[in-house]
Amino acid sequence: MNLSKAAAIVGAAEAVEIGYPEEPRTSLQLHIEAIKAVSEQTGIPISAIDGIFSAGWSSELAEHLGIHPRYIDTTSVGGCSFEMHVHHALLAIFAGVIDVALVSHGQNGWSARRLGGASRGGDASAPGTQMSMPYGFSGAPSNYSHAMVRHNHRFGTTPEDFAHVAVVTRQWATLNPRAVMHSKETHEFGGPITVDDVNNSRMISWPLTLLHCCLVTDHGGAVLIARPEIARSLRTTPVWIAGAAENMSHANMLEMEDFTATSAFASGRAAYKMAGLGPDDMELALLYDSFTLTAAMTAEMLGLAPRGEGYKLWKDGHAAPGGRLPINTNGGGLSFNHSGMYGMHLLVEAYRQLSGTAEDGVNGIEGKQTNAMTCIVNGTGGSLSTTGTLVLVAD
Amino acid sequence: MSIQWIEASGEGRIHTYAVQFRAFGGWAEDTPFVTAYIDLAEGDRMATVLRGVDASRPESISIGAKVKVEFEAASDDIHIPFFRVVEESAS
Repeated sequence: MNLSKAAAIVGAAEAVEIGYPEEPRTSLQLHIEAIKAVSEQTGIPISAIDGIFSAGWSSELAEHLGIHPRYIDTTSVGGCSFEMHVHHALLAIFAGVIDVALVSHGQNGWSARRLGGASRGGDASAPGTQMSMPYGFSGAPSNYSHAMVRHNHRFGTTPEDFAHVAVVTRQWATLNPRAVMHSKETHEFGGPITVDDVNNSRMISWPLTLLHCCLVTDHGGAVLIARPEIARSLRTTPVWIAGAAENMSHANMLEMEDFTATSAFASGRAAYKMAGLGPDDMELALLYDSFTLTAAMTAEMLGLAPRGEGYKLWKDGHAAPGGRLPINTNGGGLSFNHSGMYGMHLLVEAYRQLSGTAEDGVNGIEGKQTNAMTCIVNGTGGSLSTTGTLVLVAD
Repeated sequence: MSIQWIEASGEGRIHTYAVQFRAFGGWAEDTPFVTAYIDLAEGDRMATVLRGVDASRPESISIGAKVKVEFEAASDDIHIPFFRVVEESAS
């Protein structure tokens, strides 16, 4: 048996209320709601889960679910962690250690602000705390803006070029009733936007305006992964993990050698190799869009566009509804949801698209379901630091 | 492998930069200010806040511009290195 397609994603679900819930949610609540939903969707009982994968939550989750998993993974290296979990689950299933893996995410990025609790002060001994924070670097936008400036310098691109990523991604959000920015009914600034809207929105970290940046919301999501015999016996449609790989280039941006390149080049190449497929075979791309820049640069790294020209996929309409390579069909971190670690959102959408369930009136309205049979998924974590890439194939 | 202290020249060039419009702690009062990554002449890279630049005109700052270190006293014991542009055009 080959490692490629040794397991399939057999279901994907989200917490009941995501986005900006009326009542504050805890992260555990968001996890459990999604897990319960995916168990009901697939018919796989919680008790059959023997491998548990989450960004730091695995022991709490197993305890709460009342299971004693044989494989416990808490890899937490930012928003790409969940793509890595899929990689690790594939390996564990291939090795015969487990049959059914749960990958779960719950993060109350929005509610945490209202619930209060522990502050997020840095570890005084950490390199970033010592070398960046003293200079007023505060969070992801303050760093990613430096990468945008470097990209502009090297390739002659402009912030306006990247604004197209936000505009097109918003088009997808208008097709997703669950997207925070779906319409004026879901958010006062929801609905279609223009390049001018992106340019004229509030400056966060020059040259990144607000609409170049992702949302901060609540989100919970879970997927189940199973070996082929089980995957074939379920009422849901399997989506095969044809390729999976991960890589990293640095933790702190200080150590990022080339501000216009990420380790998605390496993880992408390895994932394609395992799948026996290449960029030209991809019919859908789900690329972490913490910022417009992140998605565009990732497209370059994955060979979907030449270096310096990733933004053209959006500007020329290829990534848009009806385009030749739909990208971020859920509305992205920019306009759908982004809880802080977005990787699970990518997995849920990838499953829906490749299992043909993207357009059920809840998760999508007319035009959201693509015809894609193949999908490349790439999570990016930290400060353009870590990447996990999956090549998924429809049954 | 032996690790040792060396005295750096304090010179470098702007690798890339950005203008911060929101910040926390003491920096919140100083927005907008220009942060940058500096390629030191010795080969390492440092983060900094650029001194002597106009945050309202970011396009007037050049990648590759020469900078020189300046130490500012944060307390009697602690001095923090900042960088000032000494030669505007990238060469």
